[in-house]
Amino acid sequence: MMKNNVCKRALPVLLAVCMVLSLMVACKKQQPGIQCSVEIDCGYIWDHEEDLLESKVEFVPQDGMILAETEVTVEQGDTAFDLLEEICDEQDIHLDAEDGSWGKYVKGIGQIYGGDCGEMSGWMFKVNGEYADVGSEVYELAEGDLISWIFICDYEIDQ
Amino acid sequence: MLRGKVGIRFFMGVALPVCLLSVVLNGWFHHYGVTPLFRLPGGNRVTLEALCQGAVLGGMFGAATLWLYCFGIVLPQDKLLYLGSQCMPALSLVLTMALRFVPTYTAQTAKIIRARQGMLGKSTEQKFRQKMRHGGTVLSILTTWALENSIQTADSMRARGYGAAKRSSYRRYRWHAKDIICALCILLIVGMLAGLAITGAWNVQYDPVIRFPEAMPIRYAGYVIYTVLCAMPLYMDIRRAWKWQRYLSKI
Repeated sequence: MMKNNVCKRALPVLLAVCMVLSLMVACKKQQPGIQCSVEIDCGYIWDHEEDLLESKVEFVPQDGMILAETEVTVEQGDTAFDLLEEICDEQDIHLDAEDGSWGKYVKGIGQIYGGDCGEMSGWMFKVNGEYADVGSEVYELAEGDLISWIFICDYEIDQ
Repeated sequence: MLRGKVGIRFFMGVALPVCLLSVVLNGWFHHYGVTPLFRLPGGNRVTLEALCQGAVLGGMFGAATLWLYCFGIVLPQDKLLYLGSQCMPALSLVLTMALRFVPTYTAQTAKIIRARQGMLGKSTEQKFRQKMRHGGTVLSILTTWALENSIQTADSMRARGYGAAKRSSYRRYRWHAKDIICALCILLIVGMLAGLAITGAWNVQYDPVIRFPEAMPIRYAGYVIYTVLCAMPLYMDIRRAWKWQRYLSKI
């Protein structure tokens, strides 16, 4: 009889201890996420409308924003390219990237490919308003970064 | 059918794989298009538009392969050379001699080796040096024969009057009136089709949406003309067979 009583009282205490321990372990394992924002802008195309391929006109949005500024939570160590891949997957935006000599080369986003608006047109990305020195696969995201993917038609004019 | 089973095997073994290869390669490396089908390991998607364009391109390559195959059957080497000899006699003569070169000399080498075997007997064990000597002797015999053969050829050509005056040659195939009409018709049709193709009446857009050109009556006229062109040999064959049957039944 005494033994049964002890077991009855020990069990809930044991369960509680287990729960607390597991919570502590789970909290420790979870790394802090990074808050970033990303946008995809092809507005410069409207400045060079005469160079745009006819077949692509319907794919350029009126305001040029294929993706408006969106906040995303990413993991530590994610690169700018990972972010692009993730957001395009989530928002169902077409993305075509291939491995180039300097890492991943983004050929086209949202059916807009490099070369569609003049020979020198293509996708470039800015970090917090400035062009990055490295490729998108190399640049690691920091807290509060704004990654903008811009479609450049003429490097001299579009800045 | 031109070649029956062999032809079908060529189609399945060469033309069809060429077409399928084009489909696979286009789908693998090009990712434009609004209809994604499945995902590749690299992250890009294989799209319906890319596969369709691959199929059409592959069909074009396969058809070109088949056409060249049929061309090789309908116009074999000797007929081609005959054509050449009518237009450029000197060039076709040189071509004939060049084409004959390898088979003739190979046959002569085999003859020499057999003759030596007959004279000296076949030796089973031969060191490397002996093999080299044997090869060298055969080569020198072949060279002697080649020089003598060429002098013989030159002499016989001179005996037949080559180079002395303008030569006429035996005409196996002659131009008849209906041949000229047929040729002109074909030229006309091909010209029309080429003109239509240039106007872009048949251009289909695959990137990023599959879009057919607007339905113009000239497009359908083009289809009819092309069918006529393709049906010409068929018509000729059927007519010939029918005539043959008729004449046979009259016996």
